[in-house]
Amino acid sequence: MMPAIIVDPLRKTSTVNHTRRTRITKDQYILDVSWEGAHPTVSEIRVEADWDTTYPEDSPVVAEFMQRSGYNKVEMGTVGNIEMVESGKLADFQTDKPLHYRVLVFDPHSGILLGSSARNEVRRPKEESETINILAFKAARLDKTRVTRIQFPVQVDYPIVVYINDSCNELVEALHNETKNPAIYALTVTPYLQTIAWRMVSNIRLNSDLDLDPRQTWEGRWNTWISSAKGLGMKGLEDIDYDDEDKAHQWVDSIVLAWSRKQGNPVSDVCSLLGGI
Amino acid sequence: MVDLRNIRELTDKGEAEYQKVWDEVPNKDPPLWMLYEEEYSTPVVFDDGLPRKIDVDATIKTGMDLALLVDGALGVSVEEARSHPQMWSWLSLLFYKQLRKGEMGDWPTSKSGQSGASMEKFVFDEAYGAFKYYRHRVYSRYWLWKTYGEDARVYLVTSANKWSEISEQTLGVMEIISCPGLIGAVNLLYLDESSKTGFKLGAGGDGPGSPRRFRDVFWQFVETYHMQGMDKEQIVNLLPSEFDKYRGIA
Repeated sequence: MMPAIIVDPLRKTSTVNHTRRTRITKDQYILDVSWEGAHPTVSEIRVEADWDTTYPEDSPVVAEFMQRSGYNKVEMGTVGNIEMVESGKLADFQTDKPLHYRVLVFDPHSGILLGSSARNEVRRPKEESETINILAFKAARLDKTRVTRIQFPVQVDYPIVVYINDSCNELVEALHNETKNPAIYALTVTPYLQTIAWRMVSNIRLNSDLDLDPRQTWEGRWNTWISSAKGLGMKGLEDIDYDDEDKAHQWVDSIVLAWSRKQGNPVSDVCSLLGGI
Repeated sequence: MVDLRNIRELTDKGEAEYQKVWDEVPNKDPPLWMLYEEEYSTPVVFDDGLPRKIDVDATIKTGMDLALLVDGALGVSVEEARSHPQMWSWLSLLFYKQLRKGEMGDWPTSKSGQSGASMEKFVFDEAYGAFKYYRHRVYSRYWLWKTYGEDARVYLVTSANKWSEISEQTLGVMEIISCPGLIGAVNLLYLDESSKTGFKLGAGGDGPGSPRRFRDVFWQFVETYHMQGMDKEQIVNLLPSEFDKYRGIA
């Protein structure tokens, strides 16, 4: 049975506290959010204060997270047995929007809050504006029947290179032109994007310990671009079951689709290039 | 007559064109001519590599009609549906004449844009309507139905071209729209499908026990209870006596 509380006067800004709940201040806990990958992740929640004398030991401790209409909670056990959380994925949350959280301690029987932090906002930290080239086009002497060839890097600080037959000077110039003709990009980048994504899947299947840190491998750099808000904003390799053939197919397709959408209407661009209307 | 066609999404050019409707007061006619123009919209390809079809001649009376129509046509997860923001703009344009009061050549609009027809209700533009996404005529109905099912009926019984006081007062609060118990409590309190409006008498006002008061009381409750851990009956029973009329006690 819920105890009755007095709820008047009622205003949005009311600070009425008839239940003697205490304020949980930021110095009592550590909460970190990681913004890497398709969804933000709680990378750490740790209680620094001794709550044993403040709340009954069977009181549940919860960190609740909200983003727009989405809600996730991370259960941390009870005051008498607090579990420190090392990782908690905030499913359905997006990395390009801020999230809000509260840390709560409540009575397990009545649901009354015994302690509550303020509603805090966490934003994705601004990324350093370092631009890294992950795909390059270079003219090269290729067999006269061959238009392009892809080469994967052996060193992390090298990009993937698409070599273009230097006999086809028009294509080299079109790809290097600042106007970035969308039709040319659609015809060259899109199929190679599929190849690159499949190579990433293949490499991580061969080596499940593949380092996806963008400072360590080209796969990490591409994975960061695929999953970051400034890139394609799609799931990263770590977010899919890459051993499942269907899931891997879907992932590769979703990357090609997201890229194509970013280009506008590549079908129309290519048709126009070839003389269509 | 059923006319099934591929569901599409507006291109950037299409979205910009759609937004021009709100450049003038009274608003211009919607650019229905661009619904199937390749430059302005493209068919949506879903994660399974397939398009989806929708009856473009469907008659929509209530928010529920709209939610069921769209859900039946899409048949995908909310997350996937949400990942196509400009599909929602295209759908609102497709059914524009059924989702807004007025007719071609005459779309009543107040100067303040508060007539129930402001842009965020039709164009799913996150940059423009960052905190108003829940008002989108099509997406909000679909999302509520998919997320809360029968407990969202109170938000869906309204005419498709209306936005109820209940929706306005309760859906704009993050802690309410994300809480199954609170959404269910609103449904228990105010839904009356036997009435003409679909609501209990007085639910559209601002008197004692009204949705506006529910929101006021909520702000006290959220500081006092772990609301996400409570079910709808617990929340309704917790409300003060001014809600007795809607609880069916008085």
